[in-house]
Amino acid sequence: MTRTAVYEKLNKVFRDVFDDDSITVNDATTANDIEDWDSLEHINLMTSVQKAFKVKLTMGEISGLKNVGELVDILEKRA
Amino acid sequence: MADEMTPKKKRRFAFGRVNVLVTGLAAAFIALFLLIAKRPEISELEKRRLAAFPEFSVKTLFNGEFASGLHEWYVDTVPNRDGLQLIGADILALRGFHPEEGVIHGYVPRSEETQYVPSTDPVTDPPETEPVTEPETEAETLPEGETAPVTEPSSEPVTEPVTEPVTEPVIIPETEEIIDRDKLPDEDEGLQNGILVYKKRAINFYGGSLYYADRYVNALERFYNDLGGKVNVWSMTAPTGVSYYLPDKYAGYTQNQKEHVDYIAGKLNHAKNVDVYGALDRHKNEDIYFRTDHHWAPLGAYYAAQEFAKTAGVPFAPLSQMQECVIPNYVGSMYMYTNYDPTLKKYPDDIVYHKPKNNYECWFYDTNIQNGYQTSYFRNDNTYCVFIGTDLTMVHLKTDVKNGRKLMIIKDSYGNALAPYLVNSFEEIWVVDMRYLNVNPVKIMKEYGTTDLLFCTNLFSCCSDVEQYIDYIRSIPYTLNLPETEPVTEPVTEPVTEPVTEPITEPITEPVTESVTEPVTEGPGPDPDETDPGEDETSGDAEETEGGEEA
Amino acid sequence: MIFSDLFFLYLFLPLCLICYYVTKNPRFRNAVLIVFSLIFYAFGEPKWILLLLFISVNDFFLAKGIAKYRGKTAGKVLLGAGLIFDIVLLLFFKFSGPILGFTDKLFGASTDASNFLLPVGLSFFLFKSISYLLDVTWEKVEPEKNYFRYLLYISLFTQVVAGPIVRYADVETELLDRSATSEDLNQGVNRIVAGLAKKVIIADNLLPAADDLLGEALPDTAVVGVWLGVLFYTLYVFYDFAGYSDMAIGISRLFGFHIKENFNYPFVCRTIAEFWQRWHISLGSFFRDYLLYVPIFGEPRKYAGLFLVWFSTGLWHGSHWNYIIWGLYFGVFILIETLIGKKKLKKVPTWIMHIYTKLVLILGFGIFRFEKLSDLGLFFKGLVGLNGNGFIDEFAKSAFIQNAVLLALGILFCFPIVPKLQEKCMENEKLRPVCGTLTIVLNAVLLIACSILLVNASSHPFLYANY
Repeated sequence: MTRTAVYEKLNKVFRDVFDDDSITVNDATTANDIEDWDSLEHINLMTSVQKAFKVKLTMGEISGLKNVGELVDILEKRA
Repeated sequence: MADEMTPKKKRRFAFGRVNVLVTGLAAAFIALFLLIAKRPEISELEKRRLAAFPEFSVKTLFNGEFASGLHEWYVDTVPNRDGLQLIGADILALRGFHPEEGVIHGYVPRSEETQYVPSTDPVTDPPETEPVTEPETEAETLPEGETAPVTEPSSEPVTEPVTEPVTEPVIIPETEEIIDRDKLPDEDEGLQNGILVYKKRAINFYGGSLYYADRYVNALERFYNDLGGKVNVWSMTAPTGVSYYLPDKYAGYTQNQKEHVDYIAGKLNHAKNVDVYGALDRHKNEDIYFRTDHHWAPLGAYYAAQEFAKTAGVPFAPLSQMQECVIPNYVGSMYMYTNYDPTLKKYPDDIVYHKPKNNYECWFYDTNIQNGYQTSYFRNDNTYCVFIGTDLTMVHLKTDVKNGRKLMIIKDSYGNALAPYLVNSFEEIWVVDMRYLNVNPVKIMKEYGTTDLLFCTNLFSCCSDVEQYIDYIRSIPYTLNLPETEPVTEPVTEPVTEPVTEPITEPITEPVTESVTEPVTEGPGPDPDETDPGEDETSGDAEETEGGEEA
Repeated sequence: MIFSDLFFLYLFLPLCLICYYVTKNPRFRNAVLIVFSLIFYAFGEPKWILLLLFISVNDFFLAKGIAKYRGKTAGKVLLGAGLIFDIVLLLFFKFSGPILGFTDKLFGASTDASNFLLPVGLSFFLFKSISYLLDVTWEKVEPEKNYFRYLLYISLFTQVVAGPIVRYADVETELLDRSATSEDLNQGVNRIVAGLAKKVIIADNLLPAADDLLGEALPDTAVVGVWLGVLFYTLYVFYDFAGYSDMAIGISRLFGFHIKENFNYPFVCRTIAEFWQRWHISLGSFFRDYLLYVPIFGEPRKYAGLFLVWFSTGLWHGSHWNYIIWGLYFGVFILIETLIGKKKLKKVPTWIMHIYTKLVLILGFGIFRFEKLSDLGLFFKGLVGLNGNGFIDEFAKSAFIQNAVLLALGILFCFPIVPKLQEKCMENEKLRPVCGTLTIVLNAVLLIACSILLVNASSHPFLYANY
């Protein structure tokens, strides 16, 4: 999957999960940039991402993400 | 631009460096002070021996005892500890306000004791059988360090005649000697029950229990029986200041001392009550209690003695026939018990006490009634310790009164101030502390032909733990020798001069350095002729200190 | 040994600093730190040093194996073994006391459960160990090649007793070599004095005030007294632990270690969730990173994870029931906040949010204090006046008056006043010398005052050294 395609899909997931159509993420986006993105909501986000991309993320990957860029790196490789 | 930035930066760094330097120097100074300044061995403030340097061995190194001992020694024996603690107290006082309308220190559980219904009739307790074993176990269960000093009261029955003189005097551990024992129980009680500081006066809420009052009464009856009914037994339960000085709005925090006093008076059978409650009540507008100390003031003791003399039918010398002495600026025990309430420090007490003018001799003994020497009842001390000095000292007063009445006072520290006022009333007075005595007082009384026995304690100890001591001393076997029968084993030396400045050293050095003055053969008690010239020096006594330093 | 102690401040620490700065050789410096750390840990109770050493050796070799077999079954087995070992050890020491006590009651035996002590700092260094093993597994860090550097990480005396739970990744490079700049020393000194003052001046005096009201007198304390007591106690816990953390961070900085903050003015929080992002941060982030996303029935689950985290937080603090209640209590409020949603909470007026959070927190620390459930019951009854002691009495008034200044200081410094002032000083060129001088004078005065107060205090151990 190309990086652009990943982003396209990912933005949709983010907008769904956080119920906010104005969200557009990029490599540098972190939890601080999206108000509702806290450690608990992160679980919902990851579940949705796994479903949307049909991938399985390990616990290390889920807990270790520094920004959206890292997530996209993983998804780019696997999806 | 760059030129402008550099000086600014430099200036900022300079502050940081000076900061590190100054704080570092302050720390280095303190570290050096702790390292090289002289470390104290005792704390006068806390009346205790400080931690000793630990003994080093491979074992203590590996089980950690050496390290913890080293740590304890280092933090406990800080140079100038007492002085620094007082500065610390001043710093602590800044944590809040201390209005004269009253602050309470410690906590105040409310009383539930008043509903106590006493169980058995005091006199029906079999006098002989029970005390022999019971007091021993009770003594063992006393709270921390309050076990009576004797280590082996034998389990033989009390009545068994003892032929063999005990060879070694019972040794009291060093740590116990230094502790001003009279303060330990009171300290705990005080802290448990809270202390109100109101209008410059510290008032300890009273939390005694009628359960113990019953036991006290029973213990007195057993004493009466031991003495074969030939001795007058008197009970003087001195109320503490709370009865006379507590403002009404705090009444809910204390129990009623009057009720307890009356309860005891009503329960006494052969022992007779001395109504000091009423006597003191009539004079409550005078300085009968210290404001900064948990004891009564000598004047309070005077009125109590007057009441006792009246009740017991002995002569009594009014204050006009005594010599008044004053120790100014006394900050008493309550200062520490209140965690250093600044009001108390600001308004110290004067100790106004009185010396009898008649002729009398005062002999000091250790807790085994050994190692006696003649000295002055009034010590070179600017605290309540001016009387006797320490509760570890047992006193025998021999007066010029001729009325056939001989008194023993079994007391706590309240009794120390009382005895001088009775020097004009009895031929002889033994003053022994129930918490430290190592000899059965019945034995002493029989030996000396005592006619009157007075129990003098403050009501709080009376209704909390005192009965355990009373029963305990009664259970001591008659094994110990009294002075006159003891062979002279050691050279007779003089009670060296009394320690001048440091009251605390007294209990330590006294038993050690001042060795036995042994009157050899005759009479009840030691003979003055055989003893030392030192008496003159010591009886000059307390006036020297009257200018005394601040407490 | 604890930080707020004359022996530590004026003998142990200076000796360690002198030995450390005698040389510039990083190996020698590490050796000095290890030796002093082991002495520090062994001080007074040497037997547990073996446990510490054993754990460090165990982790060191396990991590190597885990890295070698990453992604393979062997790696998973090694990780599992390491985690189970750590967790079992923690549970064993935390609960064998109570369990022994329970079985004693059951069988009438006497193993003297009270003698069964928790090794100092165990909860903290076992968590370091767990985080290291997991980070190695997840390729966040490579295993340490030098055993002594790992030992230094586990045993460093600035963190061994009560945290912070520093991650290996955060200090990896500094374990190799480090240098303290003059700014490090400056900040280090400031933090040490600030921490000491928090502990010795505020915390150590708040505790007796709280104990007077909530101790044996609890059944007799009036409503205002109970509230005041639990307020004292809440502030005490904060200043005790924050003071310790300040000192840990400051002392570390003197040696060139930069440790993340453990507290960030927790009481200015608007929500309970925010409180836990500001309070004991190293513990909260540990549970977030290593427990919250743990797969339950195949994948991480929001509410189960939430429960797990708060149950464990409670459990970690002690083996009594009140700690578990305490942990779940916070879990419940965080759950409620989550269900309401951040956006809606944002619309609530700030003052309502502050009243809500402070109330929840103060009651929470009440739960934290009373290990006996019967006392906890008395406490809650006392709060609403069901113990029949009236609304206010002389005792409660007195407790307030005597500690009014202390209480005011305690509340004042819950707000980020000092950083605000520093900011102002940085902005204004004229104020800088004033601030600089003031800092220097204050440091010296506070250090001396605290040292004098330490003479008075026989022993005030840090609360969190028990966990």
